Amino acid sequence: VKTLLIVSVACYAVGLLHAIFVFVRKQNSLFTVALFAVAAGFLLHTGSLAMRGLEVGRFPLVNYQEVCSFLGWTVAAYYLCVHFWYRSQALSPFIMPIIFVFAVTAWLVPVPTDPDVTSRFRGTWGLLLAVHGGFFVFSYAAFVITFLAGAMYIIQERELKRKRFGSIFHRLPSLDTCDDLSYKSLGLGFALLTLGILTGIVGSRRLNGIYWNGDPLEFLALATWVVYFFVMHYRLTAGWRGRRAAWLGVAGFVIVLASLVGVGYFSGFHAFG
Amino acid sequence: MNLVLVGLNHKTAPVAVRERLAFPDQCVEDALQRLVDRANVEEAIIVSTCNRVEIIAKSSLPLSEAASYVGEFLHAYHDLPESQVRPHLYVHEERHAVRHIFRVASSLDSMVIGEPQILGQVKDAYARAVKVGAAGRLLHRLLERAFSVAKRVRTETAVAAYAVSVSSVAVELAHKIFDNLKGKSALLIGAGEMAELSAKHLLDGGVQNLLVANRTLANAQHLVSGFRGGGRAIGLDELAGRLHEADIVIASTGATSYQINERIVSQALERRRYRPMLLIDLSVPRTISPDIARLDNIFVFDVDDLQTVVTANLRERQREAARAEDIIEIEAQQFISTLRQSDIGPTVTALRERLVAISLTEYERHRKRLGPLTPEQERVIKEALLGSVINKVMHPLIVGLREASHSDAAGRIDLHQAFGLGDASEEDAEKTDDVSPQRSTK
Repeated sequence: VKTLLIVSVACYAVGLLHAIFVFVRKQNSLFTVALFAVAAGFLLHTGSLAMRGLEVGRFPLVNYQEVCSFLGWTVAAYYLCVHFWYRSQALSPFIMPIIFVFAVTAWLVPVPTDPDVTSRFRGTWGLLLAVHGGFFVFSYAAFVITFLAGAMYIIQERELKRKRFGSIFHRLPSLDTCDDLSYKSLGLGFALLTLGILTGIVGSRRLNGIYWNGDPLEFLALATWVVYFFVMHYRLTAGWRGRRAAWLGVAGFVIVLASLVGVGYFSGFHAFG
Repeated sequence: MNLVLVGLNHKTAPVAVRERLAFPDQCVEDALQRLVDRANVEEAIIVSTCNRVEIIAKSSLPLSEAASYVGEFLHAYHDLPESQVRPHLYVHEERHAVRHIFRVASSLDSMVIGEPQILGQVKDAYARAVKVGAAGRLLHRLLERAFSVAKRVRTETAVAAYAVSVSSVAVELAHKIFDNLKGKSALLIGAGEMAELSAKHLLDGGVQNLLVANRTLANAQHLVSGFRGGGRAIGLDELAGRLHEADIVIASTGATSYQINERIVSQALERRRYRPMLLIDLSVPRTISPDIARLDNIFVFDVDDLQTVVTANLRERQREAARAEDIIEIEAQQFISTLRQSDIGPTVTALRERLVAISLTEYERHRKRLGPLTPEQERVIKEALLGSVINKVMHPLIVGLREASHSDAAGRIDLHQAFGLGDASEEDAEKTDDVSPQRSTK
């Protein structure tokens, strides 16, 4: 499991170095090689997740190491999708570090042995964990993209308004692309988040008999949902776009980050271990 | 190889001199035919543009004489006194000439660094020289190399990456906001020359719908009728009602008051559901109120803003040019060294000397057995007999060498090794080869 992960970290490193090199030198060569490296890293990463799942006989999304690994994997998946959708390399210097950091964290954090309590993540519980956790991880990864696209939009919009173009300006994708990407990832993330929350509620009712456990993570998830609901709402009805939508995307991401960091510290139903 | 480059450009000569020394297209071939007389000049190319006149020549004369010969041709052809031309001329020889041609073709020597036209102009000049047979083996290789160096500079550095004219900056900004201009609409306010130029740039960029608003409708209609895709002409009074249709607005009017103000723009913005708009004001006094910059999703630039971008982009190009110079230096050195390798002159000389030495040693060894000889007889043997034997032996070798050097170096007979010649160019190669493992172990 670790070996596969190390190799995939190495592959991501190639992609990251290439992105940095292109960013600094403004040269555009060997992109195909970098893309293949990232794709290979992604496949190996998939393998490492699958093996971890087989090894412990449950969905690999129970502790910090697994969540990091899974998040890195989903962001990498989105990165490849975005590339094939937009054919734009401009995102690489921004997304690659995130993939890399998640993957490296997953590699460096020791794999904990499963405490007894996790043995219940088999059967129905396991299925619920896979669906509910999967929705959340995929939606959070989509919000990572929303955040990045929003940040790129804000930086670029500011430079355009001030009419002073720094060195970063020429390396960003166009405003329309940033806005479109942020909108699409927002829509996807929001839909997945809604499904994640619903599966959580339904699952909790089925297995525990209550809808709401009342632990901090659930409140954060709800807050995230509310923020993104407003972004969606204003985008659809009031024609909000660009700067304001981008800022709201950034604000929502702060809560997402809090949830991700908090998942390791909060006590309560969702606490690890 | 006796390569010289004589010329002048926008840095060394004012336009008053350049225009008189320029070779109009129809004269270049005639001039080349006159210049390449085979006795003094073997090969030549004339590059003549509005910013430079340069003659690149391979001469059989010594370098300094070759340079003055070509310089003389330049003013004599144009019937100008030498004193008017000489102070503006520069001369580059050998490696420096190679580097200069590489720099010119890569657009590093241009007034606007990285401008794309010069490469085409050099290609044309080369084609003309080829047509009249003025370009021989050396210039073929030199120019082919120059074109690939120019390509390398273009792909590996960003010398040509940033827009450096006001109208191209406008299009660059549009790309920065809208990404793809396909399906976008543009509105021109004013139907003058500036509007026409911007329209051309936008249409080339992919803009599909064009509106032209003008005080006199007839002028707008006239402008619209000239466009390929067609467009619509509207009066200035319709402006407020149609503004929301435009993604890109370019104003170049003679109006003395703001035609587009915050109220009109915010209405338009609402009607287009806050999709972004790029407004570019090329007119002085301005047509578009600068206050509208306060609105979200509105990007407005005036002439000064565009000029600032142009200046910044030029600086960026200059920074890239420094990197391009490094590439060119390396390429020029490489070109010279491969050229020297394929130059058979030194090999032939060394071979002849070696054969003469061998034959004379052998002659002295067997001298006794020939008995007494008169000085006249001795001279005949040494010079006529041995000399012609050497010549007969050398001939096929020289032919073989020449053929081999024309094709590629790999197929060459290694005469240096066979005869233990070790000539000048080989020694040069050894110096640069010092890092090779075999040598370092010795």
